Amino acid sequence: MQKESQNIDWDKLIDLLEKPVDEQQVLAGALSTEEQALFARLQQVKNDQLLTGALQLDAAKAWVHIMEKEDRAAPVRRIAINWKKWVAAASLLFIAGTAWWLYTRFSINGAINNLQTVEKAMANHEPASKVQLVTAGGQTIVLDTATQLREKDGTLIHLQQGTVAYENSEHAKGDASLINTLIVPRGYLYNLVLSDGSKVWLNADSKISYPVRFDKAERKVTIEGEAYFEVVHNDKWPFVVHAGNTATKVLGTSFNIKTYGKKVYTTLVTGSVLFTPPGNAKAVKLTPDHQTVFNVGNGNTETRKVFAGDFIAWKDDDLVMTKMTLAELAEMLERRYDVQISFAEEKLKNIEYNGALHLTNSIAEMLKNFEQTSNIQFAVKDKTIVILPANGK
Amino acid sequence: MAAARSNNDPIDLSVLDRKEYELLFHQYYQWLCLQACKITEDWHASEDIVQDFFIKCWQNRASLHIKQSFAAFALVSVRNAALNYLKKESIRSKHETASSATFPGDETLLPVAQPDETDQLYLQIITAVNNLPEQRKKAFILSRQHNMKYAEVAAELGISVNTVKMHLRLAYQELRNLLKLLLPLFYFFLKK
Repeated sequence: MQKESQNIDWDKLIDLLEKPVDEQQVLAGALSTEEQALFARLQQVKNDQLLTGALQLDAAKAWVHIMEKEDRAAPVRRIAINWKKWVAAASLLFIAGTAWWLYTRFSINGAINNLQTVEKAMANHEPASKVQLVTAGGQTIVLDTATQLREKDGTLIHLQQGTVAYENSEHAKGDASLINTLIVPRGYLYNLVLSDGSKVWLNADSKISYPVRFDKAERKVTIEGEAYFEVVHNDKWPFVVHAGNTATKVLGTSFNIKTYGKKVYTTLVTGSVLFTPPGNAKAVKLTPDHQTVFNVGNGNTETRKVFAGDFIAWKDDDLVMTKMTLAELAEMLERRYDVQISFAEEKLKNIEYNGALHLTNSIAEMLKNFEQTSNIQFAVKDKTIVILPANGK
Repeated sequence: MAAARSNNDPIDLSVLDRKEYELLFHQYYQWLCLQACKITEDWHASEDIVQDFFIKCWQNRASLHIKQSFAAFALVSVRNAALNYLKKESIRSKHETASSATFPGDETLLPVAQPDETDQLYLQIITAVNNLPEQRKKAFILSRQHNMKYAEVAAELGISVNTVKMHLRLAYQELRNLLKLLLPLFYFFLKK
């Protein structure tokens, strides 16, 4: 370091550096090799426009400038600090809320450790009751084996898996005094073939009463619950379905009547029916894909256009959901599988579903499907299925 | 040398107070502006870019996890910001083909890399100059500015021409070791 400076005339180099560039080139020839090398470096640093520019920048001024910008952004900072407080407060609320939720959730149905998984608890679930046929003589026959029996008048009744069929007696109209009742409890779907050949699909939790042989004047049946009819056409032999004080008169057609709850829904698939509310109210003639909704409470009847197919899908164990709430869905599942369903939170009842699916015989499987496709989960407590919000959703 | 102090160590901004951050700012401000200016060729824009960078860094210091040195992190950030600035500028004035020629397409994000030798030299020179005594530093900078004559620098600073020369000699001597390194890098440039 010292060695180098001794051989270098710094004053000469500094003087030279002041000269215009073209002059420098000429005068640099008189310098020693060592001086030339150093001068080249000095020249280069001096002529580096980027370096010159950068060195002229006033960093102190810039710092003041950005501090001013920072201060202008101060409200943001204050919000940021408050935000942290809010997060802390919100966290506390969340923890308290979760604790409350856990408390209420499990106090509805008891202790937390009594919850079971649906798979385990519902693996071998069976409906409590069986389908029963009440004969004219008041005898109750449990329909769990395929067999046949004869009514008092000699009419043969075939009892098969899932179907009760009466010997076709269309041309042998007799007196309608012998009334049979088919009782389909929750957890079953059942078919019925009447003596005129008309077919009836009975939904779970339904009941139908009918004469073993129909009267000459009319074919009259009474239902509770839900049934889909495919009535054998006969212009001169009206078929009348009584449901909750209403009467639906048909000649030959397919239609569905649902009477769960406080409303009677009559949905026409093909043909035509005359829906007659009780009392003096006017009868409504339905055309296909139309539905009357009779309100048992106030006696009003509304008619609306529907996709009839959606309302008879149940007979094939299909479920079509159009803005179906979880409450409605739960009610349907209770019937279909003979289970009890409760909600951990009221608001869950309002979750809406759209879509279609096939109902299998395993409730556990069905619930698993719903868990996978929605923000809910199921648990079982004392044989009651509890609907909970899904974890972490 | 002061500049070499923390060049390659990862930095945790969240532990710095405002005074320490100011020191960091002073250490890198001009150098980062220089890097931005290489791309933007506009000192005003470059200063804005670097100032924005420092503000954002400060505001987000708690969440920033800088895995490399501050110099490397800052260099990449500022270069990217400069490229984005160019992109906006080239959209603003589509006629300017000069800026769009240096525009490296849509993929403006540069990979994280350590500053190369030239970048490091610039940083070292800037740091060395800033560490000069105040009068010497002023003489050094003024002598370069607009190619001012030494007499003009002397008048500006209220000192004699000989004092200006003395300051310049001492300043260049201070930079001498750095300048030795500069030579191979800029030799071709000087020859033409």
